[in-house]
Amino acid sequence: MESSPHEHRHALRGGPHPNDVAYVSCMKHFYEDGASVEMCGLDFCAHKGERTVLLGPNGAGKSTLLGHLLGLLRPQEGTVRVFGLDPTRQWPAIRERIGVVLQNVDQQLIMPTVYDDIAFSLRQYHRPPDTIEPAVSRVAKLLGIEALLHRTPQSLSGGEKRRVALAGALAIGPELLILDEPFEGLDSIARKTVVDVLRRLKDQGVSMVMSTHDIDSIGEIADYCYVLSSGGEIVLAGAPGEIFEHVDVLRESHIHPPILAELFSELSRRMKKPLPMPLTIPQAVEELMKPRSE
Amino acid sequence: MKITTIDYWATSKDGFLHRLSPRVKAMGLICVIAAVVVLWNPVALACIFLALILIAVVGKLPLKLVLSLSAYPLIFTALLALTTELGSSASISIMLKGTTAACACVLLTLTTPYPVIFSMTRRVLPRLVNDALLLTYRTLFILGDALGNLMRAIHLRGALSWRHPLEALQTVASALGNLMLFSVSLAEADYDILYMRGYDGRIVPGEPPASDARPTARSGNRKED
Repeated sequence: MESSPHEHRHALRGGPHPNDVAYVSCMKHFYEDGASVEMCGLDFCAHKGERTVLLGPNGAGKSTLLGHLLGLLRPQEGTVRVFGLDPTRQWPAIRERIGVVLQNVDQQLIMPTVYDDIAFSLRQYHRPPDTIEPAVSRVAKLLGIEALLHRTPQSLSGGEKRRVALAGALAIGPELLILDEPFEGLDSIARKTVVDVLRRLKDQGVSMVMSTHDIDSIGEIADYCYVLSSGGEIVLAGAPGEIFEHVDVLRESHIHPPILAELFSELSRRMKKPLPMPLTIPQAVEELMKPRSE
Repeated sequence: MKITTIDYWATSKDGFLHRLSPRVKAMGLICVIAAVVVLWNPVALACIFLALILIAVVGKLPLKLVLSLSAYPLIFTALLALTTELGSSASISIMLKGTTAACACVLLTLTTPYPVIFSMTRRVLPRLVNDALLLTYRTLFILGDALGNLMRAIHLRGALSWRHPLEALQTVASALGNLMLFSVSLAEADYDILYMRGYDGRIVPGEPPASDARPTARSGNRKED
């Protein structure tokens, strides 16, 4: 396994750091059907104010890890901490600080209307009644779903449901947002809206932990990435540009590297000199247009 | 499963029954059910049933849908009538009682969005029962979709052949078993979701927004993605 330049972030930790909003160390989970996720190797830690992305093939254990962060699963071995607490035992103490969007949003939308669903957690947490409508309107505007507020969730398209679920998570003003495959089912415009929203939330200091198998979006949505192998082991950790430099490790983990990463990896190999790894097409164009001596 | 169709009719149409106050419709439903319970005269029961059908026609509701939904209790009332020695008049009355009561419920649900119905039931039912009904209604949408997908899959994979009825029945039975397992895992997932979103034993009721309008589903049952 190649080591990440960011391995110092994980070395000699021996436990969660005060700056970690989420921390997982050598977590092992065995399902009743015999499947298991053994997340040893590097520790997982999501820092305050960072967008941390879990990248891995199907079945790598991304959703399992998120389930542990949400206190839905109890690890048979290892340590899981969110805001320094054990989420399986102390979820009520931290739940008002966490917004969640699950992969299957159909199951997440509970209430009869979109408005009621976005307001659900606000009401459950007994927020003052006069603050609920402004909070719902604010997130609805942010996600461009004002026109859906009086609709029944069942009548919405998949992409609309996902945005409604995100609005419900954002309405409580979370410090940590946990998103399982946030772009699934979104068309390009809705996807851009969500990417912009996530960027704005980062600027406001909201921490995020997301899972995805869409490697092409990593450059736009991640500050730090963890790459999981199919058994759940964390095989790479680092900023997106650093992750993309390890094209071989990505392939070994059954993750197809982004086309830009493949292109620049091949250019580096042929030119026999390292090139900076671009995350977006404009960055790649800029890099390619730089005057070169040879 | 016609639940999305019911939702569509309740939220996106604008007939005179839709415009009628939900309280008036609820009172009408209670009156019909009371009459159905008290009356044993098949002619009187038939008159009430026909009156309801007339209301449905005037209210521009889809007659076929109204009749098919109202007919569900017929299976059970007919079984009861056939398996007991009640006599022909009482048997017809029992079948009419079920169908008429169901028809009145159908008229209410086809013309009133379900959030409005649950906001009314909240005032009379214990909170836990109302919460359970609300979540059950929502779960029916999901299970309805799952059942539809399941039946389509069985059909597409050629397992519904009338030439081999026994095998077809076996396939449908195992598929329904799968659906039951799915409903159990759905119930677990539902509890997880509620727990994560702040549920601690009761759903806190809330007021509608100040700018509230009747819930609408202008695009009906659209599901593009």
